[in-house]
Amino acid sequence: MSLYADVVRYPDLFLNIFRRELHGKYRGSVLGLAWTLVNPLALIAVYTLVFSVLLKAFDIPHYPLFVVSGLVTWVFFNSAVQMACSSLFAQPMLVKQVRFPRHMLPLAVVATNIVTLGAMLAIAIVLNLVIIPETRTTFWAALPLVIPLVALASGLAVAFAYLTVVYRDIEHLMITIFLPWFFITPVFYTLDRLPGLEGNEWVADVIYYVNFVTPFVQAIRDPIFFGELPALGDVIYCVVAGAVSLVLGVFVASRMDDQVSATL
Amino acid sequence: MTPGTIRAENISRRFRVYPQRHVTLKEAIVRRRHLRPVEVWAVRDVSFTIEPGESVGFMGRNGSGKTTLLRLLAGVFRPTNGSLSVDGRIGSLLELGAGFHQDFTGRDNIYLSASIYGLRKQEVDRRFEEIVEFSELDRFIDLPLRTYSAGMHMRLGFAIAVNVDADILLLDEVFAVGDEAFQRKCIDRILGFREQGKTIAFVSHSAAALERMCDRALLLRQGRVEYDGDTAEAIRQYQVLLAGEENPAERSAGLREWGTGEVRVTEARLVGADGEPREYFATEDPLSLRIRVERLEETPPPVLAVELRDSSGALLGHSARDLGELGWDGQGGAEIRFDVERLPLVEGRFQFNLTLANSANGRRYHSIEKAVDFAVVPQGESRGFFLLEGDWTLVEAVSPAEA
Repeated sequence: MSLYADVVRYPDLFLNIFRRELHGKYRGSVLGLAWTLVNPLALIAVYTLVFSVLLKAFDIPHYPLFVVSGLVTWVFFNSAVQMACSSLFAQPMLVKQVRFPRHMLPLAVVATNIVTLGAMLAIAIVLNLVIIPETRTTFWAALPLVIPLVALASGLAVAFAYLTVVYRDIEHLMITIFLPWFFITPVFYTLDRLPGLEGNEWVADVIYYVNFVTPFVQAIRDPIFFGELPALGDVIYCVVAGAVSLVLGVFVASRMDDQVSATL
Repeated sequence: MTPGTIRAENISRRFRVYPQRHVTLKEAIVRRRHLRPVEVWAVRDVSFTIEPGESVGFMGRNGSGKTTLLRLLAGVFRPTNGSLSVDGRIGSLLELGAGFHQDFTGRDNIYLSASIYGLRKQEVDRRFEEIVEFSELDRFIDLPLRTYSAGMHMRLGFAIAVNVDADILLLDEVFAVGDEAFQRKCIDRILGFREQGKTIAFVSHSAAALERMCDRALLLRQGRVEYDGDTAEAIRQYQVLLAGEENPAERSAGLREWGTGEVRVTEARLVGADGEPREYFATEDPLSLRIRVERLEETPPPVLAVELRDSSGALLGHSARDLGELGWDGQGGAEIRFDVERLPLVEGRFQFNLTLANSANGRRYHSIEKAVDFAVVPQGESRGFFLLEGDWTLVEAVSPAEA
């Protein structure tokens, strides 16, 4: 676990790499941060148009806010893991020639995505507080859940950054996987309001328990949109999933550290 | 152990090389037979100890394992077998400007790169002025790196790398960067490291650099230590090793002299028309190359080849003669003359490379690059490298009325 503690042990190094990644992502400007919010906004607009206005598929009130409340979790998870994949691979000279805690590279990518997460979460919470009064007493419950969410992303980010160096097709695999994954994650729908689930409840169970992003989406959305405290089961699931992911990251990184510098 | 000590005991490093450049996830899962990796031992059973203050050179042909060894010392990866301990902070000049970001200013990049080398912010603060001064970039330090030239980029990288306050300095071939003045500064700084009693491990092909920098050298061959000891002896053994090399590009490998040594060129000089040694010639001057050779071991009379090259090393002309045909019986020594009646060169610096080789099998006894060099000053209207001579004739004059 000292792998993650390195962030605190070498604060200057981490801060510098973080700044470097941040610069790459936002081109060093506030407008840059705004740009990364454009993609989620476009998604919200399209889903609202298609599912709420045209198909009238879900009669969820404040549908755009509902989507944004789930998208916060998904966008962070998706972009942190996907961007971290190439973080080692894109720095061959650094990995090949210099001895330094290289797992800092994927972790810095996760850190830059925390910035976007913070911005999106703040926007979502503020809008909900204004428009949906019920959330005013519960929204705080989403904040501690950011910790297991970051843990989930960090562990997978480290693991996939190392794996991508040796297995080059993982990066492409990620692009292919994340779109269908998004659709089986209840971001623009909820599992309890699907008419097609009559008699096929097992599908909901699969989406719920096998797709480990689902409990995170629900546990964070419940307090900030529905005005309910997150289900205890979801919270426990999140904490366990976050811990398992961190262990996976350590396992992969320790097994592949040597191989990575020899392969690149 | 005291900082600056390196101790390697029977270290080996294995690489798995896949027949294909990339391994894909699919192949890893299916594990098809022909995709089994080939095992390559880049370093085999190498042992040595380097004490603080020693400067040790690592030499050997391409692929002999010297770079792998340096990367092992740098801690980039670990030995597969054996034990290696490296004590103290390592300064690595293997990768200059590690982690540089093009959009960052020079100042930000100093902090970034130095932190990758393991320095804390306060440590960089203390060295900042020194780094900037050494890089000679004080006017540009707050400009983004992408506005820097390649030379400025390297200078900044070098200035950071030599200012990390290392106990052990790892140097690769090309540590001298930038223009000639800056190169001298680089070399001075590294020699300064030596005087401060720091440990230096240096990989190079250049015999001159090795002799200047290192008291001791390790000659590597196919991953094993072939020789460990006095630098001059290591270079001599390396020269012999290279003589057997088939690939002409690698044959010289940056050495000025190499060969098996049965016959040697002992002296080469240029003389002018008056018989006096000269370094300058005018266009169309007579030039005479005087060469003394000496036989050290029993061999048939060799072929002596003369190559004329320009200062960049481009081949301009070549002439070779079997010394046996010239009448030398191959005993003792001989003096040979190569006379050019009218020098067809116009302007520039030129050099002669000499090679003594066996006429039958091409075995190289002795090769000297830049055995003599000389300058040519132009005379008359001619310009360029060589004298372009031709006759000008008016074939026909066409009057305006006819046209």
